[in-house]
Amino acid sequence: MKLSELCRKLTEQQQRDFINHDVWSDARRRQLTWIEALRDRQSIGEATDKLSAHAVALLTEMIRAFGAEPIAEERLVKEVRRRTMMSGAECDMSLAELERSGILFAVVKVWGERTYFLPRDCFLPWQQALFPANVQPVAPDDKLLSGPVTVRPVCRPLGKQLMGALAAMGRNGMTLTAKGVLAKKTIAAIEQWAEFDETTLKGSGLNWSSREHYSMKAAFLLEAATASGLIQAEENQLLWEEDRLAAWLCQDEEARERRLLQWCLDLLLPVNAQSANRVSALCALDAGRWYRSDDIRALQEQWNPDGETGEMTLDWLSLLLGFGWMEAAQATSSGKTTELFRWKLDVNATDIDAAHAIKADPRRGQLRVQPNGELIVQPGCTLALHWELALLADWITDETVAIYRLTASSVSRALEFGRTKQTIRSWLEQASGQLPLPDTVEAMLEEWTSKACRSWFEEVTLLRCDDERMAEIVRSNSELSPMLIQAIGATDFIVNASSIAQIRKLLQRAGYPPMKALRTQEAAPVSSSYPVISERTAGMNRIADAKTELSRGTNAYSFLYAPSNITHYELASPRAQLAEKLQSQEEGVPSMWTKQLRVYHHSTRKELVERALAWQSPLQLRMDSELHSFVPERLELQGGDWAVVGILRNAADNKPIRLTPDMWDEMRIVVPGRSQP
Amino acid sequence: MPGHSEGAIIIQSDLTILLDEESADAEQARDKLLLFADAMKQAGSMHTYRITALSLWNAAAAGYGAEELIGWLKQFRRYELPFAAETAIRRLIGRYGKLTLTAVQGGLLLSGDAELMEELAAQPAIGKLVSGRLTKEQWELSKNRRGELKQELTRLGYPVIDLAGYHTGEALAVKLRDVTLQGKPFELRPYQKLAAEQFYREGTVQGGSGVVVLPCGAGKTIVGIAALAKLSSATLILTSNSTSVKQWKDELIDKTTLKESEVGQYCGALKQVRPVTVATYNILTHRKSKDAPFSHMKLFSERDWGLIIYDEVHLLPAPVFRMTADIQATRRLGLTATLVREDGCAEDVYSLIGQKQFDLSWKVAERDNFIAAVSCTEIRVPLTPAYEDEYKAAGARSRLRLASENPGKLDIVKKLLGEHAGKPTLIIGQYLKQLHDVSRSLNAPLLTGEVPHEERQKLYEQFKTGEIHVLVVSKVANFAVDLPDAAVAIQLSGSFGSRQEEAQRIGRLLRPKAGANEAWFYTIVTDQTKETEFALKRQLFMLEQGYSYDRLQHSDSAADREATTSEVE
Repeated sequence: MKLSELCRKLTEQQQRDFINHDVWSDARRRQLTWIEALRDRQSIGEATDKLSAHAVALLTEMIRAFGAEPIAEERLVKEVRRRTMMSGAECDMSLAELERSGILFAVVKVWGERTYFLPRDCFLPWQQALFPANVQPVAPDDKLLSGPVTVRPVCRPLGKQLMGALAAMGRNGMTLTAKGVLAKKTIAAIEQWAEFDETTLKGSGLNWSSREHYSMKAAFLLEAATASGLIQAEENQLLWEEDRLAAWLCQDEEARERRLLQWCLDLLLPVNAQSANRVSALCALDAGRWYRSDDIRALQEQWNPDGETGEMTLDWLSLLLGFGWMEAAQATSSGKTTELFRWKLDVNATDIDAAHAIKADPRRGQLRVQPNGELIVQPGCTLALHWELALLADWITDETVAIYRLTASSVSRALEFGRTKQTIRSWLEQASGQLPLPDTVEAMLEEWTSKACRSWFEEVTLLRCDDERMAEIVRSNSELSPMLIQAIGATDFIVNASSIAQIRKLLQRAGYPPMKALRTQEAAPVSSSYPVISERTAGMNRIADAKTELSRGTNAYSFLYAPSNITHYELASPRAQLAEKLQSQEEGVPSMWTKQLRVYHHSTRKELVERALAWQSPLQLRMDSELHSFVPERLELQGGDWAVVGILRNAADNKPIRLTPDMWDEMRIVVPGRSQP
Repeated sequence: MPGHSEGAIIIQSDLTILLDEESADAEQARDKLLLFADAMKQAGSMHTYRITALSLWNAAAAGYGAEELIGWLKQFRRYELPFAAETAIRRLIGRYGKLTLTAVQGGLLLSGDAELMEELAAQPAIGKLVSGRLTKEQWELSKNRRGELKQELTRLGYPVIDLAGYHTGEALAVKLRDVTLQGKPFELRPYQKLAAEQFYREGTVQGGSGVVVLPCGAGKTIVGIAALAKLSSATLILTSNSTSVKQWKDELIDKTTLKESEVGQYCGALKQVRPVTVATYNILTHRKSKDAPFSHMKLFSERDWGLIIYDEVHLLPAPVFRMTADIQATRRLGLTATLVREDGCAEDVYSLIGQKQFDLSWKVAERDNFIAAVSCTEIRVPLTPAYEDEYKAAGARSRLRLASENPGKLDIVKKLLGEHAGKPTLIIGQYLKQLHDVSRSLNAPLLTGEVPHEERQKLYEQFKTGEIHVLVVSKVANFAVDLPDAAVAIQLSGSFGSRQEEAQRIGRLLRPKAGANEAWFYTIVTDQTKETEFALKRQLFMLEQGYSYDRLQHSDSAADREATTSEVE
């Protein structure tokens, strides 16, 4: 669940209560709201210092073991206790603290069990605060970079891959088949634009709908389009959300890619703890600087040496390369090969930074039209330009600059989608800074538009009569005749489809009720499936609009099944403070049991142990004149004798030991959160 | 994305470079680029260059280091220099000089440092050529694997310095003359000298085999003759047709010390095998039946050739391709103006003859007055009304022919001949019936493949001397017809959308002219027909060489029989 989804389930008072918690005191002083504080790395750092040690330990272990995955309370506590030697009561107290400060949340499932989660978009800052990755970049003057280096071919950014796929979908038709999926040729056209490796993505274990029709690549791109609000499903076709599409195409490239990255993280972080921690470490690195892949692998070993093996892991590095946000290289020095990578996308920049990014030079126009029909696109142009180019020209390359080429077939395609010679010419001139087109390009346009698409098929609604007499009745009806657009032969008339009901009524009134059924009704022609974005983007500046946050589509249609979707569960109230819970249970318990170390009789010792087990509290034991913290796990009875098994916290390892009552001298129950005696 | 400067060049990570000719420092950038990149396209204001492994090794051989080249790219860049491009330059230049190929008794020795040899060992294509690994640094291979090895190494991006030398062939005493037999002073133009030297350089990866690309009229034959004279060995010259065979012979005798008896013609009725033999591709690929062996392929071994020159190398037929793969120890020089193969096999030419050694841009040659400045014009005429119904009813192929043979073109030809009266003019066409009609109508001689050789020579002579001003020619004139004084060419019809044919035809005009050094090329196409579409395709090569076409519309209606031309709106 993301912060925005969570907020919809919280009252304003609850949000105010969170920011008033002690851990946010510094953020409060800076007049941040709770949501702002949760997105602010400084505030998270300060909160980490203010949280109790147990709460920090619990959060740390939760992230280490489960990453961003929502986790059932029982499993969480068991794992935290296994790793930290914390007692159940300490876990309980820590959970309460984290919940009450608005850091950790729980939903309640069917039987009332609680499932804990960090809001997904808060995972990275918390992970990075609790697991600082001290990874050093390769120095720019390092010999590694000036020696033999092979750079892997760079993929285009995911946003461009998505745009290419959408343009291909628009060109190939968006009608859904009887099975509710896109036509095969459309799916194949979409897949062609996906440069990322499907096998890597499959490492996420994500499931998707209509697997027999859609590849994972296609489903992923369609899901990205749905989440961006660019398409929606309606009956038998996918439809463009044209305003959203126009706004998306006009976004600044960096801002758009960061949003897509955030969406990917939202979708894929819960897959696996190890990969979530790894991608978080990657996201903490500086853009543009080279790092060694081995350093990231070493981090993983350092953070989670006993991490489970054999579980599903997602190779984020390969995925980020496939999405064009990173580039990778192989450097060889002294016969040793080093794998390197670097971010091309500044993950941690803000949209304000994006405003300073490279922009197409307005003096030169965004496009250079060459006499041989090549169209050279300057870097920094919005996708709106590429969108139109993807229709009227063939794509050749897209690197520092993108190059397209006008061809007979591409111009014919543009005509197919409603462009004309005049609109193509005007658009090219406008995009090239109002420079006149080269003569040869004029000649090409003249040639290629002079033959294709000069005739067409059109679906119209006919009012048909069975004979000329009936047609005359229709024609002579003074109310009806204005609705007849054109007579076709002696017995048929073209009418507006929207007038059918009214014509039907008039004919009925005249005593000639028409047939009830329409003879044919087919889907809209393909040619409506490629919107003219430039008309919608007139006056639209580069958009870095926070409102365009990607989310699951609002309509029911979705192409990927999200893992661990807890959005639909009810949010649990923060758990009661441990002290409140214990209050009722403390009646009849001698206060000295918790307040003072004393020597007790074996039978009383057993009572204290039983009480500690009930409260899941640790015991303080004096053994050989030394104080020890002992977390009891169970009582073992053997005849008249008994022993307690538990963890001795300051032992060399955290293996359970078995203590008989004669093995310690003094003891007391430690109630977590209560001041020491 | 990092910020940008006002630099003239844009570098793509695949080592393609775009040079913005409108930029203030375009000229400086171009001068540097030409040291290590090949010019690819010069259309419009954004010209395309490409850095290749070979262009980098050429730069390395000339003493330029990777850091120097990278420094220039950074100096003139508009946007960030892609790291992939930077590292590729370092890697490729770094490999230069690391591998050598030497001759040892009975075989060849490939040597390199152990690390590099280990990299090569991982390449199966190389491994299979090696007969034994003497040490980690030295491998042995058979002599006849040399061509394949060099091709594979080049393909993989590892240059080898070939010290094994070439088969020297039969020695031949030959020198270039200072004054031609016709009594004119003769010396190589600077670029011809450079091209011949680039080819000749022994002891480097580039030496001994490769392709020289020069614009038509810039004197490719002279480069071939210069290479022959430098090597002074028996030479086999392969060219496209018998007219060209004769012209090669004439040029050789006129400009070198070779005697008539030392130059043989191997085509038609003549089958002379002499120290320098000029043959056609056609005769080499002749065979009695489909399955019979090629009757004349033995020519490759009939003498001890030290050099084979492939004229118009873009026309090299497949059987000659295969033979070329077997004779890698013999020096090979390819000559062409348009390394554009409509079959897309241009890369095969490079791999079998050798990489491009020298390329002179058409516009640079024009700027320096080495070729004539040509104005290209497309004139559109309407289809003669009498043909309209037939055109509408015809199939696609017949339509093109009907449009090409449009009799309405004749009026324009007459008008153009009037405008350029007295200037030597070629009227070029594809279809014999059309050419016969035009010839009759203009009372101009017609030169086709049907014309006997002697008569052809006579026509050439008359055209050269100015006795006749207009010559109607079929596609035999596409290649190697050396008509020195043609200043106007009128194209009536052509072979579909062939870029190469259009360039070759324009090439007929490029030989430098006395005086203003100008020439005119007209292509007449029938408006509103398939022909206009093909005309656009045909013009592409010239557009990418930096030429432009003016477009005129010829209106000719029943009401207005007076031919007029007006600019297309």
